[in-house]
Parts: sequence; C-alpha cells; structure tokens
Amino acid sequence: MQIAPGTLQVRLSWQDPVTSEETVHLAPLPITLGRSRENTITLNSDAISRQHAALEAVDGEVVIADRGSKNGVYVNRARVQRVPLKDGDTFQIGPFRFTIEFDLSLHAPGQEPSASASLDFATVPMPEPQTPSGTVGVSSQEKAYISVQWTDPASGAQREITAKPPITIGRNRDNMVVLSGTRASRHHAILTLEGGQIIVTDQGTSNGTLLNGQRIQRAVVQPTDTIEMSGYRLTAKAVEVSASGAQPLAAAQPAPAPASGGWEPVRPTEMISAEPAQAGLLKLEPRQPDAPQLTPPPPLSPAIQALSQRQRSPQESTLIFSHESGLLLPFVPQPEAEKKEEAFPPPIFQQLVIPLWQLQQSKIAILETTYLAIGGGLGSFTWVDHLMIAGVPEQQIVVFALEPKPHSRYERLCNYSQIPSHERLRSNSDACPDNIWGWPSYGLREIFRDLGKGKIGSAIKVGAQVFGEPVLTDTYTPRSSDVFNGIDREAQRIGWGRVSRYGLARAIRMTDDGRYVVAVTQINQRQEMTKLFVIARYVHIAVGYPGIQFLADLQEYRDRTKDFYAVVNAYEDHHQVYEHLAKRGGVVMVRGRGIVASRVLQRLSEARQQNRNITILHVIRTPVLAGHRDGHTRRKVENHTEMQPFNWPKACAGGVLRRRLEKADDHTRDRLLNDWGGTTTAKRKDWRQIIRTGQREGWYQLRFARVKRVDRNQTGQLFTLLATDDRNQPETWTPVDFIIDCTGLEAALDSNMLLKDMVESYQLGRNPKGRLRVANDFELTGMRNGPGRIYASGAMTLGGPFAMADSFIGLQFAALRSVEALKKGGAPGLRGLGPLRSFAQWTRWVRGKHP
Amino acid sequence: MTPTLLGRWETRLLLLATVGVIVAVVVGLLVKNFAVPFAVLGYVFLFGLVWDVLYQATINYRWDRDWPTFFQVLAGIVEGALVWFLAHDGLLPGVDRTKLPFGVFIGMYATIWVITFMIAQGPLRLFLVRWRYQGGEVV
Repeated sequence: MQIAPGTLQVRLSWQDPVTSEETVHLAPLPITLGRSRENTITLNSDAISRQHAALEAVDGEVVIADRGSKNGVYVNRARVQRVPLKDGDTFQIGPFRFTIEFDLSLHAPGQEPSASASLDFATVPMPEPQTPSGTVGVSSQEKAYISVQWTDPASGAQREITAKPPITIGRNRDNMVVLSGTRASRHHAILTLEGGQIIVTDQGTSNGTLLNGQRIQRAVVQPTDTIEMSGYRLTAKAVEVSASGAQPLAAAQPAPAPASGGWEPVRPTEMISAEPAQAGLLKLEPRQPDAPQLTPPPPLSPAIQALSQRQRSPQESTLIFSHESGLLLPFVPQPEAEKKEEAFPPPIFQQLVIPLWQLQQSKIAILETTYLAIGGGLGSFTWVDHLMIAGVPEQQIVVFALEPKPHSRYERLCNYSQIPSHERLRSNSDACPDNIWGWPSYGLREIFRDLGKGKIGSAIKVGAQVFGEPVLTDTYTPRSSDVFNGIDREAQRIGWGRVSRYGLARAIRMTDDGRYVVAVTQINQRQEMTKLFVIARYVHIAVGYPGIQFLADLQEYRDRTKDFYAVVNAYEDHHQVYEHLAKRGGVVMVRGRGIVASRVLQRLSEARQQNRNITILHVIRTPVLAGHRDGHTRRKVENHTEMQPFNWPKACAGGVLRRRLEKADDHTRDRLLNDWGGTTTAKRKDWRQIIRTGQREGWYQLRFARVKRVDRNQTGQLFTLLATDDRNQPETWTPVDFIIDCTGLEAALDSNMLLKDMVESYQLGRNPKGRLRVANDFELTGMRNGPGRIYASGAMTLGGPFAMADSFIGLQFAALRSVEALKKGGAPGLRGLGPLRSFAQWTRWVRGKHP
Repeated sequence: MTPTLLGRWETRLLLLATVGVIVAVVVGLLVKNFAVPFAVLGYVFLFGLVWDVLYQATINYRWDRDWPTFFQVLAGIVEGALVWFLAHDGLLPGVDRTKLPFGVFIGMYATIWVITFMIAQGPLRLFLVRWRYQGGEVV
C-alpha cells in the first residue's frame, strides 16, 4: 500500500560544522531545510539558500528535492535535483552532512519489522498542518538518547554530543567520542542505556576507565558522576531529543509496511564501469570497436568545446574551504542573490577609517584586545606562541579560528592527500611549530622515545639518518602524529583554548584612534549567526590556502557530469578510490608529478598488495631531462621529476639563499622563486623502488601527454583523450577507472574575501606572485595606522622575503620577525627574546609550564 | 646546517672563545703550561677562518647550499690533522712541539671539537633564537 504523503517519520542526524556537535532530528515528512526560519530545520550558513531543500514522501519513497538552491544538494557526492533516498543514505547541503534513517523503532511492541522489504519504514499520523510545532520527547517512559560532555584537554574547548546509544569512546576515528593522545585505547569504553540508566563498560583497556576515581569494568552512571579515561573527564546524562513538529511517539499508530517502491538508489559506484578497464599490462591504444562498454563518447559539440577551452577564472576551477567549518565544500559556492536583511559588515565599512563613535552607535557587540590573530591555524598559533614566550600575557591576545585545533585543517589535508598519522611529512627535523627554538628537534625526540621504549635498532636508524642526511641517507622527516601531538601539548601549555574562539573575519578597517576594527561573525549554539566588532592595535593575518586547485578539464568534467567519485583531487577526501581499487582493481590515472603524486603512488602500491589488478597510468605534460639551474648547480632529476628534500632548497630557511631573496627586488624575487621552487619531489628509497618495480612488472607507466578531454560513455566508462606534442601521433581515447589530480592547492588571494576586500579597499598592491605585499618583517606596511600594525604569514605571503612561506619554518620565521619588530616599536607586554629570557623560557617549555 | 661565511666565522669565534678557552685552561692546568694549549687554540681558530672560506665556496656547488653534518665531521678531522702535522714538524711559531705530546693534543682538540659540535647542533639556539635563520650569524 502507498503511504499518504506527510505521514512518514524519519530521523535526520548531522554534525554542526563548527562545533562538531551531533544533532538528531526526528520528524514526519515533509521536512524543509534552509536558512530561512520558516523551515523545519534552519541551517545557518552562507552556503545555504533560504529555501534550500525538502524531504518528501512520494509514492512510498522518501525523496529529496532541491528547491532551486544556489549551491545544490549532494547525494553520495553527486549533485541532484530530485532523487529517492534509502535508509542510511547521506546527503550534503552546504557544509552540513546529513544521515537519514527511516526510524524502525516506531513499530508497536510485538510487531516485528519485516526483514526483507527494503522500504520497511513505519509511519506516524500526519500532524495537523496548522498546529504550531511542539517539542516532544522520544518516549514518555524512556529517555532514548545520551548526552556526553567533556573538555578537550589539548584545546580546553568544551565538547558535547547527543546521540542514540551505544556511544563508543576511544582513540580510533570510528568512535563517536574520539580521544586524542596515546594513553587511550583504540576502543576504550562504551555507553549504553538499560532501563533508563546509563551504563559505562570498559572495553578491556590497559589504562582503565574510572568512575568518580574508582576503576570500574561496568557501572551505572549518574548525571553527577565523572567518568575518567586517559586524561579526559566526561559526564553523561540521558536526555530527550526534541523533534519539532512530531507527534508524541507514544501515541504513534503503526501502519502496515508499505509496498516496495522499487526504486534503485543512485550509486556512483555503479555509474562507472564495474570491471577494471584492463588488468595486467596497460595497453593504451584505442579499444576494439566490438567492446561496446568501451566505446569512446561522442565528439563534443563546438559549444561545449568552446566552454572547456575557454580560460577559467581561478574561482571556477577551485574548491573552497567552507567559511563556517573549514571543511572542503564539494561545490563552488556562489554568493546568494537574495538580499540579506542586514548587511554585515555594515555600510560604515565603506569608509577606510571608521570613527569609534560610529562603531559604538551601531548596537553591535564590541570586543577590544591588544593583539588579534585572524585565522586560527598554524600561522596564528606560531605567532601567538612567539608573543607569549616573548612576554605578552594571554589576557591581551584574542584569536579567531574556524576550527578547534591549530592543526585541524593541515591534518585534514594530510589525511586526504594520503599522509596518515604514521607517515612522514615533508618537513625538516628542526622545524617544530611546538618549539620556537627548534630544539630538541623531532629527530632527537624520536631517538629518545625509541630508546625509552627499548627500540635500540630504530633509534640507531633515526640517528644515522639525522647524521648522514642527505649525503649518506635519505633526509629525515618527522611523523605527522608526532608533529600534531607536539602542537597539542604546546597548545595546552600556552592556553590556546582560552585565547582562541570561533569566528570568521569578514572585513578589516582602520579606526580613527590608530587601531583596527574587524567585522567578525560567529555562530551560536542555536545555529544563529551573531555579529561582533573586534578592535585591536596589532593584528596578525594567517588564513592559509583558500581552497584546492583543479585542473580545468577535470573541473569541466565534474561540473558537467557531477561525478565526484571517479575524478578526484588528491587534496579532497578520496579514500573511496583506494577502497574500490583494492576490492575490484582497475586503471587509475595520476596527473601531476610533485610530492603529492609520489605519496598517492605509494598509496596505490599499498592498495596493489591487496589486488594485483591495479594499473597506474601516470600522465605528465612534458619530459624533464635536466633540472633547474642556479649558479654552479643543477637540480637532480629522476623519472622526469626534479628532486629536492623540501619544497625549496634548504638554504632558503636560514642560509645564503634566504639572505639573497630577502635582499632582492620584486623582479629578482620572482625569478629566484621560479628557479628554486616548482614541482619537485623528495628522494625516498621506497618511492624510487615503487616506480622501478612498477615499470619492470608493467603496472606503472609514465606517459607524456596533454589531456584534451575527459568524458564517459553511455555505460559510464570514463575516458580521457590524450594528445602529444608530436602532430604525427594520433590522439587516443584511453579508458580509465579513476583520475587523481595531484596538481596542488589553490592560492589565489581573491578567493579569500577578507584579503581581497582589504587589498582592494586600501590599494595595497600585490607582490610578484599576486599575493600580499609584506615587508621583510612581514608587516603589511600599507595598512599602518599610527601605532597600529598588521602582520601576515603563511601561503598568502609567498613572493615576499621568505621562500618557504607556507612551511612550518616559514611560519616560525615570520612570527619571530614580526614579534621582534613589535618589540622594537615598544608594543605593550613584550619583553623580547634576549639570550637569558630565551633560555629561561626554554626551561619552562621543557617543564611544560605556561610561558 | 645552512651557514653563511660570516655565520661560520662568528660561530667559530663565539664557541672557541667560550668552550675553547675553558678547555685550554683545563689542559693548561693539567700540563702546567698555558702557552702551548692557547697557541694551538689560536692556530685552530686562524686556520679555521681560511677553511671556512673554502667550505663556503664548496656549498655553492650544492643545490641546497647546505653543509651536511657528515661534512662537519670530515672537516673537523681534516682541520685537526693539519694543525697536528704542522705543529709536529715545528712549523707553528710559538708551539714547542716537545711540550705537545700527541695524547695531549688529541685530547684537547677532540674535547673542544665534540663540545662545540654538540652545542652548535642545538643548545646554542636556546640562547640565540635568530641564529638558525641567519646562517649562524650571532648578531
């Protein structure tokens, strides 16, 4: 039987992109989602349209429909207009990722849900359409959810989740409450509800679970009790979850299960060819015409060709990090055309210098501070670390961040680009964001830790590497987990959680009293946007990369087909590629030849250990036979890729090359940066071995070609049209199963609204790389306002005095330079970093004492 | 390390004027003669200034313009050997070779070298935060 529209109950759960809090919403259909308050679920984000999407029951199916939104609705990574959903499906709207469940718990006791029917959801009576929504409990008898609160020991941030039990807690990422730090077990404890009482059960851990100080295996938890594990203290209570618009569930009348609607869910997995294009040796000639599934797609119409060939602006081939969450959005956000009720920043921001009284009269909350850091990532962190160590008390510092930890975004990009926690970063041993002195270096720490654990062999190996690099051994680089754990420790030590708060800086202006005002928006717990003016005398801007850059032909393909499954960028989440390949094999095309390509090749070779039917086609544009030249030296080349241990020659960090760049004029800087930088990878024994083995066994092939077009045929088989510079060679349609774009991060200043507005309003000009023009002490001299100063660091200063701008060492160097300049200028609280104070501060670092 | 020439000279002067002098005094007390240990120290420093010019010319032939740890060790051995052979042949004015047995020389030279090497590898920057960014220049 068909379900009457509007009688279906679903359970939606999603994570707040800002606080990571999980929200669960239980409501009957239809459900509307959007920014406007009239929606069933109000979502506060710039990327959300006022009327964004709706969930409806149509012919026994739950259907999600786009209500003409700007930025679209994504189901399983494909943009959709209107598709049916299946129990457990996920969909994405702006920065919010929802999971939908058809709540089976609504069956009356004794009535067994049918196990076979795929559309086996229960129904509840349709609510009175005009009745105002009320908030009711899930059950009048039993509280069905558990709310857990804890404080993150690293950042000091208060965390809370409310979710349906069981709630799993542990170090592994698959837990609902993830504990960082090595003392927690992977799966540490579990919270369940039994007879309305919360039960905590230790999962057999070595370090144990404590309830009010007593070690327990299994115990009842009262709301006033404290659960402790590996440095975390948690409280838990059973709660009712509001379901606005829902009827009391106790009164729900179960209806017979509906007949199956018979729809097939949209599964990108099925859209691409299920079989690997070819196993074993790569054969790159066009396929036989008698293989229908391998028929190349028809030629493009001239109009589409024109579209794909036209010059794309950076905006168009870029995926941007969400302003709200810092997460990568699967689409290019377009500014909302609808007029906002109140513009923010307000019209007074049209002036370049704003009188204080105008700010005071605006009725918007004002926060005053001496030092303000905008960004909240590693750039802000190293600056604040230097400030505090140089003597500034934390009460004079405010940081506006988009993510709870300074390394959140960096770590995510590492994970996406296949550097998991045990892998090593491309960074020097003494570039330590957690230690302004760079000593003890990561190498030394690793040696001591290995010795402490009795791993003598491993310690000797690291020692030999530190000693012999780069002449006798590969260059030492630190494990990513060591770097992140160190930053967490330092964040804890300096009280990062107390100075950092969530906020998005939208515009900055000078004030008439020699300071700056920054228009900041925040999102409160009710998902509402709040506005704030922050006034500060010294400002530091480190906002990082605004997004990731796509090769234009791949972006064109994705725009046209909405295939986000098979065509991916190495910097976005693309684990499905490796999982699919490990399970079913296939041909993967890797484009680009830098360090990320190396790491992706390594990951593919790991997947190959599970499935021999993976072949790799590595496409690069041109052969490279000789490396860049500078003076008497030339960069080494291997497998048509230039090799150097780091992104830039080592002496750019602190040697002759650093000085040379600092002294150079704009034109020379541009030339030097082009000579020293570019696409390079590191000489690593294992990477070279992979290439050699792959070439010998035939599963790795390097090909010099231009990709003219990417398309798929009617059966979903992906093809790329490859052309060479040799006109006599025919263009070939090459079937592949996946394409991984390893060409890099987007660094266009204009993609960041704060910087674009500032540079254009104050006509600051740009450096030869089109980014922020900073002085040798990293000051934005064009923004000087009486005693007020603005400094910048990170990726947005590349083209300035320091080549390794976006590296750990670059952030530290910029921080030190700006703090020294502030000290020279007599900024308050700064006591400098002279030899004695520096050493005394280091001893505090060793003891873990606040600076 | 990624030193500059001035950085090499300044760091050499700083470390020999502190660690070097202390070790020379200790050796002087042990052998009851201060002239020889201090003369040796002076030659190590003076020859070092010239060696540094050579080293710095070498790194211009390295893409990374760096000075690997392994090279530092080789340089330490070569520098020590030169001073020893010149002193042994009586070619260093002010050094009475009869008062400089090999054991005393190698003990003093190795002690100074190992301590200054270790300090330059790390602890020096605890006092001089900028040192590592400016190729070993102290000021």
